[in-house]
Formats: sequence, structure tokens, C-alpha cells
Amino acid sequence: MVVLQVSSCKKFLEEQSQTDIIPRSASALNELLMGAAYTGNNGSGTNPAIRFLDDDATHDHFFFKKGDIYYAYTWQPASTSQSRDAGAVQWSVLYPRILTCNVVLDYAPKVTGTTAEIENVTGQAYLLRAFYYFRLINFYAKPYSDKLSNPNLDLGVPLILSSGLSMEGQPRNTVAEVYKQIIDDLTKGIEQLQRNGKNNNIFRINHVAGSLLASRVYMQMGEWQKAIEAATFVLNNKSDLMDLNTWGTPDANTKAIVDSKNPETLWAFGSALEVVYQGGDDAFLYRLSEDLLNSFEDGDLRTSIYIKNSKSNKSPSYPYTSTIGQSFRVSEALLNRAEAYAQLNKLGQTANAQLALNDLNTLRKKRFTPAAYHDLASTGADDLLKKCYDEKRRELFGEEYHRWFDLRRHGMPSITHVFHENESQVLSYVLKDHDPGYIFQIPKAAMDKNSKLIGNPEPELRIGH
Amino acid sequence: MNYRTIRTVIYSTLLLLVFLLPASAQQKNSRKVTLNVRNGTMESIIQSIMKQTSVKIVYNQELVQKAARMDFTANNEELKPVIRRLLKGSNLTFVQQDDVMVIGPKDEPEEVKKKTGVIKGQVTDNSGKPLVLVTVSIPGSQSNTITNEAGEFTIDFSEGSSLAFSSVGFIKQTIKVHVNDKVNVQLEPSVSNMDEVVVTGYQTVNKRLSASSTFTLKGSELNQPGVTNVLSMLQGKVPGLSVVNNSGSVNAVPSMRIRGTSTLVGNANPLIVVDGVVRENPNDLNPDNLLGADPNTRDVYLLKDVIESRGTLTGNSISGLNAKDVESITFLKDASATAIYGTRAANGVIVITTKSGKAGKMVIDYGLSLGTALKPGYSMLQLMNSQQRIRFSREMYEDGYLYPSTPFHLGYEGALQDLLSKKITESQFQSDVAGLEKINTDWFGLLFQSPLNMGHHLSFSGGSDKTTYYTSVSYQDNRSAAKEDRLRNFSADASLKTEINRKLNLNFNLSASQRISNGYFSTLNPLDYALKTSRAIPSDLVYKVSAIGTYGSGPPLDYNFLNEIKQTGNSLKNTDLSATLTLNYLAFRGLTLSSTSSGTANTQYSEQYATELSNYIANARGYDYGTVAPGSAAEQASSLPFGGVLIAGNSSSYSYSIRNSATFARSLFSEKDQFSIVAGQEINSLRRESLNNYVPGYLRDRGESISINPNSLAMLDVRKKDALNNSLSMYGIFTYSYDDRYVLNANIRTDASNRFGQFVNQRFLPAWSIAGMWNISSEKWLEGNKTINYLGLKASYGFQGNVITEVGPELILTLPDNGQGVDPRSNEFSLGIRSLPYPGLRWEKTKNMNLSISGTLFNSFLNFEMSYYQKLTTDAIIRKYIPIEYGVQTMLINGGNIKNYGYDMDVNMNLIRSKDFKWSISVRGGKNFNVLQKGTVELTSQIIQDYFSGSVLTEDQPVGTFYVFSFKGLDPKTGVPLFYGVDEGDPASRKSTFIDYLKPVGTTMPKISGGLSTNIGYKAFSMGVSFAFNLGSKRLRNSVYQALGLSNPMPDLNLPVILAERWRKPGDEAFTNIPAYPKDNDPTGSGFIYLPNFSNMSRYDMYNHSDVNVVSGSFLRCTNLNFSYRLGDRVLKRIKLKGATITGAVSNLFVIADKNLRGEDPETMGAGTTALPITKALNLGLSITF
Repeated sequence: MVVLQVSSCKKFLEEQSQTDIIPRSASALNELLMGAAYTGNNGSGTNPAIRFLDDDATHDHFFFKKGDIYYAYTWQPASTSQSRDAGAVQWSVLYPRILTCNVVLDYAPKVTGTTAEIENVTGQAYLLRAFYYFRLINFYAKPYSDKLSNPNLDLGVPLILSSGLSMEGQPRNTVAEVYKQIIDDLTKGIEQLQRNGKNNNIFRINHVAGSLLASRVYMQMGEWQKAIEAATFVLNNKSDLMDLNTWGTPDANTKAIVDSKNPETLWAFGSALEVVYQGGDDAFLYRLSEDLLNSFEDGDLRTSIYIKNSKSNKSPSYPYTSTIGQSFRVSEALLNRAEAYAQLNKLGQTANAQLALNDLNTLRKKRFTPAAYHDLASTGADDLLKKCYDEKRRELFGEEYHRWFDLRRHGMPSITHVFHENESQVLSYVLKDHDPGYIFQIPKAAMDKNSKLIGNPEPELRIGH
Repeated sequence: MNYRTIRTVIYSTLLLLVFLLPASAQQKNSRKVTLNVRNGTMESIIQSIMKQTSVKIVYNQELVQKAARMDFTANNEELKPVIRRLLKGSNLTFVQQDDVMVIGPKDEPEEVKKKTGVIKGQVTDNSGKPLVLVTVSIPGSQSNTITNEAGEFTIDFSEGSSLAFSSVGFIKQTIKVHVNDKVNVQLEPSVSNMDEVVVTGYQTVNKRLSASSTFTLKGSELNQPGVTNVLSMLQGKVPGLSVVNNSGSVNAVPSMRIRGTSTLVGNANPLIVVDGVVRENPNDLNPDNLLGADPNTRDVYLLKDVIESRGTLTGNSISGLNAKDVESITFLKDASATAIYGTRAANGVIVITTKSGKAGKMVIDYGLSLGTALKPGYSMLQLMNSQQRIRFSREMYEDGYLYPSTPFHLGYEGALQDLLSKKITESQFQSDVAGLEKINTDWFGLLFQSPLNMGHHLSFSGGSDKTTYYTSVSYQDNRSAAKEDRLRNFSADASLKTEINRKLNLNFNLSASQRISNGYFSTLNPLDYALKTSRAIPSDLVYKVSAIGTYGSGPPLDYNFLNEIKQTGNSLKNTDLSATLTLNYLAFRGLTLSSTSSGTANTQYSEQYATELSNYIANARGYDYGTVAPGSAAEQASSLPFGGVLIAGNSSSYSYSIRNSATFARSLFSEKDQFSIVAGQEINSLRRESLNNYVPGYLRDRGESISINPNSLAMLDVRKKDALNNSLSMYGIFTYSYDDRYVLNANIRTDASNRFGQFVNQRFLPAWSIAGMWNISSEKWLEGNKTINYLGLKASYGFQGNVITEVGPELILTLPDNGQGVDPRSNEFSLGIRSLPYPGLRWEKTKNMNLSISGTLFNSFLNFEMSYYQKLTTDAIIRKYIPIEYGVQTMLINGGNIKNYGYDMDVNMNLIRSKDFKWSISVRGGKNFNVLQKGTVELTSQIIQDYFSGSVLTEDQPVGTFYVFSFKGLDPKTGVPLFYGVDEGDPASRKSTFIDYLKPVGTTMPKISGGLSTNIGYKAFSMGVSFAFNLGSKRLRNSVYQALGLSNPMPDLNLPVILAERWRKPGDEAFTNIPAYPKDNDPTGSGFIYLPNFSNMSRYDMYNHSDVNVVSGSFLRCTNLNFSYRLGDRVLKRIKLKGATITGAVSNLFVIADKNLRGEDPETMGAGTTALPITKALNLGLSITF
């Protein structure tokens, strides 16, 4: 018996686990990316309330209680909202995904696989890391190109670029440093995926989606020429636009705008729970603002296809029938490029004005009935810019955080939200011009654990009038 | 002084003088002697010889005169040979110095050739049972042997010697034998606890040969009718063991610590071994932390309640064991005892031995127990009755308090709403309120009962000289006072011991049990509800409450607690089967080979459900059952439009272990010493499989069918787990004892396992110990001492390492949080991170030292054992919060240095031991000092809840120290509570946070725990009382104020009576420290205070966690009081029984605790947990022997 045991000893002590895996191949890392770096695979985590920050949302009617959305909607400071402020959640949702990207990047050199397989994995990790830092910097720091900003001094977010853990926290990097890292990651990621990521499905980020993200990043930085190049790269690779004239009967549950099957979609991601509320919460008290609804012209098919009962109809109404929450769409490339041209136009490069109009018109042709469609013309540089802004708002409302990020980029104007305090009383809450409320407070939970984090200026308790 | 004595003294003096004569005076010549004497005395012969020589012969007349008359001849012989010949055969000898020869008593055996041969024989004990391993030796020689399995021996022997027989636990015997005799020797057992053995699970060692710190409890001492788990009976009975019964549920498992806590993230409960085999828990949940060290998000947010409520029924590895089948329980406390179990035993080991048969005619025992538990009531609890509660509401209204939102439409507030909205008139209102004041619903009466519990136990035992057996079957049906809490257990046990031949014997044990546990569904706790719910609510009232729980908030939904209980369920079935086979083979003299094989199988099915008629499901559905039209938008938007949920889990574990060992024992240098060495090897294999399901769309009333609506798919959760743990170990035990006086003992063990992703350098981790013992009472100078029957000293030192199994040097991936291996959108495989690599993590190391003294005095009037121990743990692994930016909440580091030291004491006194009257008292207890030492990484996180819960680590403080605010008084203007530090100076300019004002108050684990018991027996009557005490712990009272949403309390809440004394107007602060309610719910209102770093906290939450609410957790509980009467022989003869005993017992008769607890139990966890109250239980027992 003893001899028998010794001979089988090695096998007896062989590591084995049915549910756990030690990653030794590029494909394991690729599966890890799908499970833990892409958003939305495991619940939302994202605070859906932050969709109600911008001027596209309005409170509709009184209900007996103040739900979670109230705190974001009225831009309440972190200190009084008991962790229901807009910035309370994002920090701890995005950094774990950045960790996964870092893990993949750290392990990629150690695993087996062809160069192509490894580049496919690292390329996605670079692009996702860039995407998450882009969101973080736009939630928690001053806009890059604002007149009152100084990206070389303004505090951004801590850049964590390796998977090693430490008890010591890292201080916030400057906004410029974070943007530099984003650009670096984008460059590497786009390059690697262009070489080796073409066979991925639409649920994985690709070089074209990476370029669209690059155009967003350059827009934030005011690097118009680079934004144009990036958007052009997108359009050169994919220029399909959905034509609302042939879209058929609008039904968000069977044919959603934000959907992997939409011909415009470059990359589908996120969780439906970020967009669609489960029953019983207070999202049903909110709808699209008059301001937005009134901006649509006659004959704009988006009013009937994107909107239903004054609410966004872009995603399925039940989270359970939806598979994704967000998508990168080709339309945005046209809109970004149009604005970038318009910005250059404003800077005096007037040849760009027509280019901007061309892009807007390309999109609008697919959004209006032929009877109502007419080519746009502008009355000046500012008018053209406004047309670009408005078109983007109409096209992309309710998707990602486009409007909020754009409001920050457009000079952080004052906006007002109304709230039905009770059956008879409607109060106005004002986010002032360059209000500290435009920058989320670093969550208390993060500051508690990292003494090197310096908080953002705290707005006053916002009281309705 | 007589003449002879004087002469002896003179001769002796002379003898001394002779030896002192100068060496230079040498003998010149020797005269020849010629002699012929017939039948002469020796004295006369000596006299004759003296005349023929010049040598003066001095002799001991007394001895010489004793010599027999003889014939003696000498023919011109030398003096010396003549004298030698003369003295031969007598016990005299001579010595000659110059001209003086002295004849005196012989002090050395004569060197003569002896007749040699062999002696054969058999050694038995006083009952005739052969004794193995008895040392048989010949005093004065090196030769010795030991007896074989049949008690037989053969030894070479020379005539004239004697034989000595010695064996531990028996009185040494020396007998005169002659060559070729066949001897049969019976050894008498030695007295004074000499029959006590220490069962380590690996060996059975005589207590006198064990240098380890152990404690043995006899099965009969466990007897505590009405208590279902053997472990719960241990409270107060074992020195150094602290037992906390967190709940009064019949399914509860207590939390235990042997000599303090020496790990910070692992399971600190001791290892449990039954009949030599480690018993694994039915599943891998850590009872102290059911969610595990590293829970995933879904478990934490969605399934926490479900997992915890399953945990309340899970039980432990010995839940099915009947206390009546237990022979003894041995507690291994120091490293010397536990090192043999390797790394798993760092928290101590509990070794349970079950009963086995005794040779003789079959004995049949039947035991019946009937009992009940008493309902808890309001009497002690100081909660408001209807009238007080209504008065409180009225006062709040009169004082101008407003509700932040419309209060639930019930109670005073409901009537008031009707009045204000003019639905009823003032007089109607008055009569409604008067009616409400009289309701006084007795929630305790409705939710609790006095059940009828019963237990049957039937055993058969007996056997022949070679084979004995013990078989038992038992059935128990127990309920606690809480109505749904029930445990039914059926168990059977069979053991067989047989001697196949002289060299081989066999033990076989088979045990099986089936257990059915019932409890409460996850969100329900009758104690919590009874404590918190207003008595002005009729029990059948269905009222609206805010949507709660896991599915967000929405419109208020119908609630009725009795309906919730009816519409939900929680049950668990557990089946255990285990078998053990032990073979012992005596290979040759001194060498025994043993092999123990065992296998266990366990299956568990747990089921929780809630039907669509429950509020729990209404929360998930979003509306009350039947309130929306079929096909309506609300129905379509609902996440669970149809059916309830079924939470069902199946788990099974199969394990086997094989242990082979060789024991070699022999004497090394003389017959007085004994050396033994055990070399062993062990393999263990454990496979666990489980499938846990959370299934929406459960239609319980429709044939228990399941129909999952697409909307509900996201709720569906199916998880399969499969794990195989293999380990291979080698161990060695060395023992050397000399004369039963000095014992030296050493153990070593090393383990290797197949653990996934483990550190390669940690595969073989040795644990070792060394121990020594000195039996002082065996020393010559104490032998036969009438005062001290026994006195012994022990010392041990050992080292154990431990690494927590969840981490390794590798990145480990697993299925993502939701358990789905395929991403539902992309249809691609997906993985998540299970554990990040920890390349730098080291073992936790514990050095363990023990010193004990034990003794038996005044012929067993007083027995005592006292120990001092010290356990130093370094590099304890702690889970430290790290900045969120790293992407994980916490990391594991070696950062804790824990010192545990303290005393254990066991004193028992047999005060009276007469034939008819017996009285004994025993006191057992231990004091543990636990302190975090220098080098501990301070977990001074900024999370204030960690301070409240005691999870911060601070140097020089015990593990588990919790902190509170220091209450300063009430604000004279508003009546809100104020705190030292917090309410001093200008808050705006302050840089510090709340944490700087917290003060440590103590720990929730007791410092001193123990018990006292006394037994009095008079003829056929006996009475026993036992008490258990825990001293030195602190706890917080149940919170009076809500932590968040500081509103005027909703009308469904009941409140402590003490709130009637709250601050209501300026000046009240002179009489009361009960704060006023804050006037509004606005966060900026007086309820909250702010400090830098955005710390904000409700003053009322601070008040709940302030020193005014800290009470002592110390208590003295009368755990058991019992009387029994044994029927007399004459009666027995008439009814043809061998024995019969009737017993009556009361458990938890009373508890003495801090009066500031206001009637709360000092031991069970507070409101808001799954705990059920510990109540008084009455029991009647009958035991019959056929």
C-alpha cells in the first residue's frame, strides 16, 4: 500500500480546480478582458443617476419621496448627500476595470500565444484603459481646454498603470499627464488592433472605435486637426449610417437605436442597467427637457423614433430584454468632425465651414423625411458652431455622457433644473456658470483610504427656490 | 536500649576503626587452620578458628548466632578460604585487614554460578484481560522483554533472581520465580487517576506519559438535556475554552476559541476530530464569516441574507452526534498536543471518542427525554406597551414634530391622518385612539411557543473476551421557543472491536445520521420583529411599508409578519455517513503496525422559498399581488411578474483518509526507561460538490412548478462548484520516559497539498513541538507521602505555520461574479479575477509555550491543574484596505503580531465521599490576555464603522477592540446629544476627523470564561447545578435611534420605554441623557455634523455608538440544574430491570448580567441578526437499563 501511494503521490498532489484557472495563454487573458474589463457584464455598477445631470433631463411630477436621482439631478454636494452624489460610484466602478487592463498588460509577456493573439489582447487593454481614464478625467477633473483651466497644474486622477498593489496611495496626476497617457494608450491600442484585432466581434473594442474615442479626446483637448484626422480614419473604415426613412415602425424592444445590430454601431458595450431602470425606482419621474424637445425641427424623424412620450426610446424599456447599454456610433464621427471643422473655421480657417456643413448634411439626410430635408447653411462661425452643438445634442441625447461632457467643454454654462417638491410647489435648482458642481467630488470612500488625494472644491448645499 | 543494640553499635564502631587503620600495617603471614566440628554453632566454629590463628576475628554476634548449626571440617587450610567456606550459604561476609578480620552482614550478592533457563508466563489485569506491552525485567540485570498481544512473555532467567512486571497505569509487581516456572501474573491498576488516558486522535497515551496540555471531559459530564449540539454543552466546562452561544436556536452552532484568537482572517474555531478522524464541516463556509474571506459582489449585495439564513441551518461536522454516544472529549491546547495535526490545528483540537462495548452480557440502555422551552415575554424587556406607544406618538405630534414623508397609515398616526383629512370626527378619533391603546398585541406570544420536545436513545453493548460491540440508535425532535425553528435528528452508531488472532486486532465503526432543520426565511426574524414592532398593531393587520431590500425602492407595499412567515420557508436536510476501520498488527517484539482507513459522505439539500403572496416577492415585483391588470405596463416592466423564488442548494462532500503508522517501543538502557517512536504517513482527500440555485418564477401552489419569465432571467443564478483537496502528510512522535518520573516528548509533522496556485516553497511546512514532564510524586522523597498523592510539572514549546489558502504567487482566474462562463451578449467565454498574486506573502507563524502543574492531594480530596501559556503569532495575515485606485478593496499582508497569554485552571474537590453521601465541586476557567504587539500594521482606516465593529487593529490593544464616542451631554437648547472632542472648539477650523475622538472600550470576546458545577448525591438521589460565566467583555445595547433617515419613528416601530424620559424641553437635560428627536430630516438639520474630509455622521448614530450605550457583556448563567433518582435494587428486581433513573432538569434557569442591558440577553447577538433568544427549558428524562 505504501509503495502504491508513493508512486501515485505526484498525481495525488497535482493541482486541479474545476472552477479556477491560472492564465497561461493569450486566450485566457482575452476571456478575462470579456469578463472583467468590459463594462456591464456583471450588473451596472454605474450610477444611472448621472444621466440626469445635463440639460436634457427634467423632473416631471411630484412623488412622495426623493429618490437617489434627486441628489445628482440637483447637483448636491458630496458632504450632505450621504454618498448619493453624482461622483460617489464611478470611481470604484472604473478603477477595478483599469486593474484588469493592467493585469492583462502585465501578464501578456508571460503567456503563450502568437504575436497576433497577444497584440489583440494588449491592444484591447490599452484602448479600454484609455476609455476609462477618459471617463474618469471628465467626471472628476476640470475640463482640459476651459478658459479657467491649466491642464499642467489642474489635478486629474491618479494614474495606475500596473497591477501591483500597495498600501501607499498615489496622488492625483495632473490633467495633462492623464491626457498624455490616454493618447499614448490610444496610439498603441489602435496600432495593435489594426494589425491583429480585425476578427473580433462587435462587443470588443476595435481600432475604429479606438479612433472615434481618439477624436473625442482631441475634441476635449481642442486639438481640432487631430480630431478631424481621427474622425476621418473612422469614416474611412466605416461610413454606414442608418436611414430613419427606412427604419420602419419604431420599437425600442425589437429594434433599438443603441444596439449591436444597428448598422452604425462600431462597438457595443455597457449594461442596460446603466440606461434603463428596473421597475419601482424614480426614473419614471423624469423625462426629456422642453429645451431639447423644442430644438427638433419639423420633419425630423428622430422625434418619433428616438423619442416616445417625451422620453428616450433609444434602448429597450425593460432591462431584461436588452443586452447592452451603450454603443459607439458612426454618426458621432461625422458630428465630431463637423464641429472640429467649425472650430477651425472660427479660428479663421474658413475653408472648413463648408466641410462642417457637408458632414452635418450627410447625417441629416438620413434623419429627415425627404420632404422636410434641406441643406443647412450658416450665418457665421458662431452660428455654425451652434448648429454643430445642437445637432450632436439631438443625435446623441441619452447616450453615454456626451451632453454632460460637452457642456463642460462648452464653457460650463449655467443650467437650471426644476423639481416638484410637492403637489403644488416646483423649485428651481441652479448650476451656476463654472459651478464646482461641474466637477464630481472625489468619493469619500476613496479619500478615506488614500490620504494623498486632494478633494475638489465642494459646492454649497444647493437649495431649491 | 538493650544489650544487643549496644553491642551492635560497638561492633559497627570497631568496623569503622578497622577501615581507618593505616594501610602500611600489612599482614605478615597467614596461619593454616585445621578443624573438625560436628553440629556446632557458627559462633563456636569461629571461636575455634580464632584460637588457631593470630588474626583477631571480630564478628556480629547477633547475625552469627542466627546461623544454623553445621558440620565443618578444615585440613590445614588457609584462613580465608576456610572462613569463606564457613560463611557460604549464609548472609554473612568477611573482610580482613592486617590482623583483624571482621565478619558482618553481606551487602552484595554472592557471585556464584546459577542455574539458567527460561520463564514463560502471561500478564493480565485484575479482570483477567491480557495486558500488552508490559515490561518484564529481571532486577539487577539488563535483560527485559515486553508482553505480546496475548499478554504473554518469555524471558531468559537465572535461578535466584526475581521478575519485575511494570506497565503504565498498573502497580509494579516483583515476584520470586524458579527456572522453568510458568507464571501467571495479575497486575492491579494503580490508583489516583492512573487510569486516565489522553486521546490525541493519533495515539492513546497514559496521562502520566503525556507532557502536553490537554483536558478531558467525560461523556457523562455533557449531559444537558434540551441542548441539541454537543459543542453548545461545553460552555463553562473546559478550562481555556471560551464558548459563546450566539443564538438560542436549536440549529445554532456556538463560536469557540481555545486560548484566544491567533488568526485574523482565517477560521479561528478549533479542529474537530471524531474517533481519530478529522471531521470536515458539511460545506466550506466559515461559521464566523459565512460570506467567506473574499465574497463576490453579487453575494454581498443580493444574496447576503439568503446565505446567512442558510448558514443558520448548516450546522457543523458533528451536528448529528448524540451526546449519549460520546465516551469522552479531549481538548488539545498546546503545541505539543496539536503539532501532530500540522497547520490545520493552530486554533486547538477537540478530539471526540465515541462509546465502545465492554465484555459481558448484552446491556440494553434506553433513554427518553421530554422537554419544553419557555416562551420569552415582554416582562424583562422594557419596551412600550400600546398605551405608552400611542402616548409617544401623541406627544411627538403635540411637540410639533413632522414626518419627512407621509407616515404609514396605522396606529395613532393613521387615526390622525383620518381626522386631519376629515374622514372621521373628533369623537371618532378619540374612540379610535382609545381602542388602539388597548390592543397590546403580544408579539412574543404569537411568534413563540412552548413546544414539546422529545428524544429517544437506545443502545446495545456487550461482547466476549475477544470481541465487543456497541450499537445505538437515537431520534430527537427539538424546537426552540421560536415557532418555526426545529431540528429533527436520527442517528445510528455501531462499533465493533475484535481480536482476530494474537497479533492482529481490528476496530470497526460505522455511524450515520440524518438531520432535518427548519428555520426562518432570510429576511425574517421573530425576535427582531417582536422587539421592534409596535404593540398597537393588531396581529392580523396588513399594513403598508416602504419597499425595502435588494430591489430598490418604490411605492409602499403590504406587509404582515404572520403572512410572511406563512408564505416563506427555510429548511435543510443533511445526511452523514462515516465508517472507520483500524487494524493493529504486532509484527515482532516492540514493533506494532497500525492502519486506519476512513471514509465519510455527506449530502445536504437546502431550500428557501418565498411565494408571490409575500412582501419579499412584492418588493421584487414592484407592486402588491393582484393589484395590476394582466398585461399592463407595470406587469411588463416588472422584474418578477409571476411566481416567487426558490433558493435551493445541493451540496455533497466525500472524503477519505488513510493513515499508516509503525510504533516501536522498548527499553533502552535499563528496565526503568521506555522509548517509543511512531512514524506515520497519512493521506487525506476531500471532494466537495455543490449546486446552488436562485430560481425566480417559483409557483409553489401550482405543483411547485417553475416558469421563468424573460424579465426575471437576470435574477436566475445557478452556480456549480467542484473542488478536490488532497493532502499528504508525514509525522513522527518520539517519547522517552524514565522510571515514569521523567518524560520527554517530541512531535513533528509536515504536509503537502494539491492546493491550487500555492507557493511551491510552502508545500512542505513542518510543525514541531517538544515537551517534558516531571512526575514529582514518583521521586523517592515523595513516595508514600500521605498528603500529596500526585504532583507533576509539564512544559512544552512548539512551532506551527499557517498560510491562508486563498492566496498564492499566481494570478488566479475564475468565472465572473454572476457565475456565467459565457458572456450573454457576445457569446464569448469570459473569466474574472479570483485572486491577484501575492508573491511576497509569508507564513503566519505561531510559537506556543505551555507550563502546567497538576496534583492530587489528600487522597483525591483535591485535584487541580493550572497552566500558563503564551502564544506568539507573528506575520499574521491581515486584510488591509488599500486605495480604491488599485482596483481592489483590500490586500492581504503579513502585518499582525498577536500575543495571547493567560491561565487555565481546573480545580475539583470531593468534599464528601461517604458511602451514602457524596458532594463534589469543580471550578474550571481560563483567563486570556490578547494583545496586538509591536510591528502590527495599524488598520487605522478612515472608515468609522470599522472602529465600531472592532475590525481595526491597534498596537497594544486586543484583537476585536471596538471604539465609541464619548458622550458629553445634551444640548440645553435642542436636546441633541453632544460629544467630547466633536463638540468642542470651532468645527470649521478643525483638521481632525471623528476618529480622533473615539475611545477604545473593550472587546466582545470575554477575557475570563469558565464555569462552576457541583454535584450532591445522597443514596439514590443526586442533584447537580452548573453555572457558566464569561467576564470582561463589552457590548453595545440595541440601538434606540435609527442611524439614517432620522425621522420621527414610523408608527409600526416599537420603542424602549426609556424614550418616555427623553428630552422634551430646555431644562430636561438635568434629569435625562435620552436625546430629543431632531426636528426635521434635513441633512443640514441638527441631526448631522460635519468635519473635514467630508466626514458626516448623524449625532444619533454617534449616540448609538457612544459610551452611554456600552454595557458589560459579563454574565453568570445557570446553565443547568438537575435532579435524578435511581431506583432501588429491590424495586428493580421486582420489575426485572438492571437499572432505572429518573431525571428532571432546567436549562438556562437564570442569568445574572449588567442591569443596563435592559433585559437584552448578554450573549446572543443583538437585534437585526439571525439570532433567536436563549430561553429557559424544562426537561424530564428516564433512563432504563435492561
